[in-house]
Amino acid sequence: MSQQTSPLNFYTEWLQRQNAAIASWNESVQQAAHAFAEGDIKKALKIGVGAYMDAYSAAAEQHSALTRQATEQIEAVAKNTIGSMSNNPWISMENGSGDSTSTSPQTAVNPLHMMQQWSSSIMQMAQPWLQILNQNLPQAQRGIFEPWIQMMETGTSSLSMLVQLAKLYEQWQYVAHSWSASVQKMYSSVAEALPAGAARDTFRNMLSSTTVYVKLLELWAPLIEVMKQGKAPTQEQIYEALHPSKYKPVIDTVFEFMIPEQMHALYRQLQTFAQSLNIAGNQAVRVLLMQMEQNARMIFAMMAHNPEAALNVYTTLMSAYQQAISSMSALPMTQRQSEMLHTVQHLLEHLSEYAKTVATYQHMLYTNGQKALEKITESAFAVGRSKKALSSFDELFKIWVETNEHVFHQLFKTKDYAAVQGKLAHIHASLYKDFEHLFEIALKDFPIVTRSHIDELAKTVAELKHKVRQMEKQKDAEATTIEDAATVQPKGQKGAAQSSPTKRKSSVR
Amino acid sequence: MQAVSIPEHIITVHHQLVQSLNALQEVHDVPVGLSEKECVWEDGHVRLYRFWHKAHGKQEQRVRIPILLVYALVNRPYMLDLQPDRSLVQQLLRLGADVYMIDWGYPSRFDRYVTLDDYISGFIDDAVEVIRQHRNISTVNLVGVCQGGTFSVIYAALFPHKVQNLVTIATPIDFSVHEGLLFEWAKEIDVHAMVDAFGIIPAEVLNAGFIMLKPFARLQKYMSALSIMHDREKRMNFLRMEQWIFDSPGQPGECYRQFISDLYQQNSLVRGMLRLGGRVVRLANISMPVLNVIATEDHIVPPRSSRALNKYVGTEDKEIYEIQGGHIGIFVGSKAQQQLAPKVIEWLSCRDGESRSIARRKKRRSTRR
Repeated sequence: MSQQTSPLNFYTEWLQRQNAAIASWNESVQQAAHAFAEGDIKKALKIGVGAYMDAYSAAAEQHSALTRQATEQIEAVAKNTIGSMSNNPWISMENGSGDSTSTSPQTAVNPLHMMQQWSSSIMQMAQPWLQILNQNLPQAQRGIFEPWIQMMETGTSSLSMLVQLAKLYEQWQYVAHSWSASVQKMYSSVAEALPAGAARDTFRNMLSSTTVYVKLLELWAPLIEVMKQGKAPTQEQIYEALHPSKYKPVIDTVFEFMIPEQMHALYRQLQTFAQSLNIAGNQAVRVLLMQMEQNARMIFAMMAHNPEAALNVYTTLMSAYQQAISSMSALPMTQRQSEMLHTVQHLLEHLSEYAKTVATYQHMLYTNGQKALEKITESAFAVGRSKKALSSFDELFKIWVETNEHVFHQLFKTKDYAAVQGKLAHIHASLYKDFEHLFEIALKDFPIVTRSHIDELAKTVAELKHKVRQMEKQKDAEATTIEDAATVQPKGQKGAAQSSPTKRKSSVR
Repeated sequence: MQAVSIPEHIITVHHQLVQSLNALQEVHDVPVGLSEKECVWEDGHVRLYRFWHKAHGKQEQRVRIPILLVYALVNRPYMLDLQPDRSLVQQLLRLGADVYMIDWGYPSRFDRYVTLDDYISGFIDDAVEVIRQHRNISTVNLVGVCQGGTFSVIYAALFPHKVQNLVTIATPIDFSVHEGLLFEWAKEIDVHAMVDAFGIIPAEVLNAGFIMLKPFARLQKYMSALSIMHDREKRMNFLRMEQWIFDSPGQPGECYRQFISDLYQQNSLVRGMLRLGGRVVRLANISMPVLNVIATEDHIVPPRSSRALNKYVGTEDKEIYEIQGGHIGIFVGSKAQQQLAPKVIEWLSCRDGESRSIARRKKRRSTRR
């Protein structure tokens, strides 16, 4: 391990790259603000949103490069470790130097090609019926699942045969990985057709858990294979199992982190949104200017002859315009446009802050995940020596769960973690508010009830209800006092009913 | 290591996944909260139910004064009546109690300004009034669970003359303890920003916090579930619990703001600084007997936070009763099933004397005469 780069450096570098991208974004926001202050709205939008997209794309690419680089290193290690594999016809063939005419029985069938063919054919079979599923989502009935279930069972059996074959080549992990990846998407699609509620949620959670389970199984397969032979894994094998470029996807799945592609899509949507606003604003302003120009010409013509009448026409026109057009067409007045752009600017700043905090948060979880992994590897794999051998992968999975729970609990109870999590919640709330504010500005002139209107109404209703309740209770208390003072007979059902909420609430049954 | 090869292992997992899907697609409904009940009062989303126990005919009434169950706002109250053989409600009925329960319902956007005071001095007090009038009694036995326990404690401090006995189960009281993760996390939340932004705090936000309490154990839970999905009974038991876990109403903003800010962050309840409707809530006003039930392995409400109640209440008749189990386990665990309800009934039956308010009134009347 000492000759290799520490796995934690991978995450440090990852965090540095994230922060560099975000710093670049912050600079862009400043430039956008400057452009905005100078009245160049288009430029502001272009810089503000576009530059961040570029920065984030660059970060995503850098991340991929980092992972690629790490993977190449690992593959090099793996090749050295499993030198005997160079004799494997399949590996050779994949490298373009294989001898497919070899007489070795092992070269008769290439399991990966078979797997690919199988995967491709099963996807073809699935496609039409996934479409049917999607078309019938609300009416999804039991019958609709049956062909899929049958198909999957057939697929599982055929894969079993493939795997038996693949065992000859010791390349099962490639086969299994391809198979898992190809069916995973289908599972997700089918889950959508389950009746909404506990069954669907449970299946989704099972799917997510099995994804993690299988990923771990694949990651640790070489070590497990070695241990099955009663040997201790080599340093390289342990290093491979520990490497963050392979382990990071596991942590990403456990915590459902957004992968760069998802973040990219999010910002692309934001860019489209901002561009739409810009286009809509320009079009609306153009219409407004045309109308005003026409009106002004008419007014100026009139003013030459009768200034008073011209002013009246102007006033009437403006009034009619405001009532008839402005209220329905949401024309962006200068002030509103300015308010909207200020909000967009806030939103972008918050997004930048959010990205930075998320990066810090993820870094915390990645490094702790790595610590847990090292502990597990130390206790479960770096053995052969005095340690008791594991009896099954489930036992190893249990150790993985327990060790992680312990390590993460230690992290979660720190003030630092709580502070970062609290900050994330705060920025999330701010972003939510920014978006809502944007929509409210856009909808201001439409006859549509916005959240602010509902909140205002809800506040009034709550205050009134509160007052009514207080008055009722006061009345009840006074009635009870008078009743007590005037009582000459024991209090019975009638007396009790007088102070009952039944009298003031018709909803009592 | 086992003889089964890794590819075979992966195939087995996928096979179980397919089989689970096959089993789950048969499930169109997950029935919960099946005990027979009648809605006796409602106000907006809030309902008061009275439960019936018909299966065993007329029961010997060991506890004369009705029990009012007050559950938390965070999840649905049918946790107390999850299924016939795992139902605190059923057990209480069978052991001879008359059981009412408040269902807070699902708040709408119109409920964002409903305050802590509205819940406690409003809805709980209304429910208590309804029971008092219906049954012609002056006090009820208040049994509060989790956050509902905190509500019940505050209610008992504000309206001690309406509570005969107070039972709290897994109830947070002292929020200054540094034990539970939720307690630590809540201290760092800007609740004002959240309430201002969301109005009604989305259930997803709260669930995300609960999931982070044990993120890895959760994976194991679903992996283990793969192997029971073929068994209908086990599958439905599992799904009932899942149904409850993810059936989370949003939280009315103002009430949430006050609960987090005043209690979690400022610990104002035990500090005697909590004000509701202009009144200071004094735990010393709790003069009725108190039974404080604690789950020893509660990872949501640290036992130390619950235990504190007995330090601050004004009554001398107080008891702490510990049950081995977690926050949910004490309601649904098989061992806990045999402990919780019997203990509550036994404790209440020893304190089921004449309603104190009635006694006071009678005393007043006889003095006047």
